Amino acid sequence: MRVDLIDRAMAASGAAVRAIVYAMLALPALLVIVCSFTSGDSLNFPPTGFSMRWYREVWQNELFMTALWTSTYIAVLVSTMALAIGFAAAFAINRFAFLGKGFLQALAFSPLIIPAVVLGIGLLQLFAKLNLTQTIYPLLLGHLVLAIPYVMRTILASLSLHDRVLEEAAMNLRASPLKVIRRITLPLILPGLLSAAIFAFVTSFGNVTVSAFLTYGGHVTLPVQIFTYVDTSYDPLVAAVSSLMIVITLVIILVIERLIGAERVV
Amino acid sequence: MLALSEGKEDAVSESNDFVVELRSVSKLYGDTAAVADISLKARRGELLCLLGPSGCGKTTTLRMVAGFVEPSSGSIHINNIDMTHQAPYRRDTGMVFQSYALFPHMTVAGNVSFGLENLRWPREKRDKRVDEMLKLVELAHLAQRLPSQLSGGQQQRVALARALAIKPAVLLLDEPFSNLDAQLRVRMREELQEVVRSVNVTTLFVTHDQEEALTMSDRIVVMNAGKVEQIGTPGEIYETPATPFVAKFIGWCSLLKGTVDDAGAFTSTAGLRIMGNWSAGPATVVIRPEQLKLSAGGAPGQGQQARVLHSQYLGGATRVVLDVNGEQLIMQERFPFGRHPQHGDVLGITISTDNLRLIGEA
Repeated sequence: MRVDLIDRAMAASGAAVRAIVYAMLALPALLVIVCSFTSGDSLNFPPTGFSMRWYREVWQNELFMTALWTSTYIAVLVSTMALAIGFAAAFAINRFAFLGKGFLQALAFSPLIIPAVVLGIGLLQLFAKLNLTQTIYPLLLGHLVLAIPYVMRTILASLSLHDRVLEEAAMNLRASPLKVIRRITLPLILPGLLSAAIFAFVTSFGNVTVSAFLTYGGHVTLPVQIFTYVDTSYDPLVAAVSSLMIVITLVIILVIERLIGAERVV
Repeated sequence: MLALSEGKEDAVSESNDFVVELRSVSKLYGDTAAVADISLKARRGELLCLLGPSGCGKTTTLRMVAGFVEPSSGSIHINNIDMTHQAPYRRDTGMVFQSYALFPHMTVAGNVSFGLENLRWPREKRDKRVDEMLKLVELAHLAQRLPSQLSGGQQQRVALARALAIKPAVLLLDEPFSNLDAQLRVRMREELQEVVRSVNVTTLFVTHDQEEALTMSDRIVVMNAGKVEQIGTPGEIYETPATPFVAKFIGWCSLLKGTVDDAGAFTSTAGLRIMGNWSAGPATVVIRPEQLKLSAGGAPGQGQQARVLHSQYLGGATRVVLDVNGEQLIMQERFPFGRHPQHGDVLGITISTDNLRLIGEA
């Protein structure tokens, strides 16, 4: 009886904790999305009326639309490059013993440990020295540095679960090393590659701290633009922009998850 | 499937056409030798078995032939070409892995076709060969299935078809039956033997199962602790073992240490005498269970006195461990119903000296 009671109490409190965690995670986003449909002039909850007014405003706002475009193409570029570099690095670390392997691994993971502000200032100074501050490269490279640890970590996990005997079998069937990677290794760790791509995309797309130091005139990312805007005004426009960001991120994740799911079935 | 052609075995044993040759091959891991100075040759069309306990270096040897492990010294020749340092994908071998290693993201047909694609066979020829190979292993109806949808036995046949599709000079089999249950194992053994014979491919086969080795091979290489103990036909290995290890490893036997005197008779250290005509010196005698017979009904007083230590009823026969003059001997005999020997019984036995094998001290 008593054990039964304790079990139930534990189960109940576990469920409560889970509910609270999910609520804390989802509520802010939900709140923003709900507020974005307001027809009023100020950001209030509950919103007054329902309209697409602020979405229309965003659509017509050149600052935000440019920033959205900048964020998107930087995120896509960063994901692609991080995937290529991260796979190469993870493959080398997984397969070969070489001098400085531990150092390379620590270096690749260091952006996870260094505070983002420090990283941002450091990168800004570096690019100033290189005379590159008025270009897209700081933003691109800064995000790349942030994304690579996630990509490497995910791909390393995939590679360590991957059955190497399959590669031996392929080699035995006359496949050259490159062909083995293309026909056997990559297709089999595709789920890992895709989740690595999601990590890279989301890391780049949502970053404020490092981006704030590295943006310049023509290339402001959306989160930085939102941050700047909120500094001076507080109207539902930000809610609409933020909702757009949430939707884009969700769509990317869902599409990629669908791809992985489909791959598993086929 | 094609039937085994008559008289092929003679052709094999006479041929001096070697497809695989290992010359003094060693493989060291740090200070320990996984394989120590192995030399062997596989004749064209021969099924050569590497037999030994786990850790004896047989799989390492096979992997060196495939090119996954580089020898520390010595050389490996395939079709008389030195392949010692050649990459796996430049060697003319086809391997069936212990886990089969079928590509999970490709269909059965895709798996079999993979090697042919790498060899740049044109599509039509490739499809024809895939079809032919799947028919050979009787899986044509499952061509579009994924490996995960197949049973263990079917997966093994796909692995075999895939390895044979590229027409390798040598087929390598790494414990191919170890993942199958006992009944399926016997059936797959026969099937595999039939397929391998029908395409007449030189085969190197690794196993720790003596029964597999005895029933399937043309010749057996018995390995122990990285070394070759003996190379010979199943009959030679069983009937004339070269070392005590081979005698012990293949089948049941009793090993008696002792000396041969000037009269040619053997006396064991415990004092058991066996008459014979051997050359004098220290020696070990190998007595197979079937070389012990009950003398005239097994009544005590006839022949050698033997006391029963253990008896194991096997159905068709009873295996008995006997104490004969202080030596333990294993006998296998069919006792009349209701008269199974018990611990402590005394039997009269004779030791048949026909084909009794004596191993000289090494």
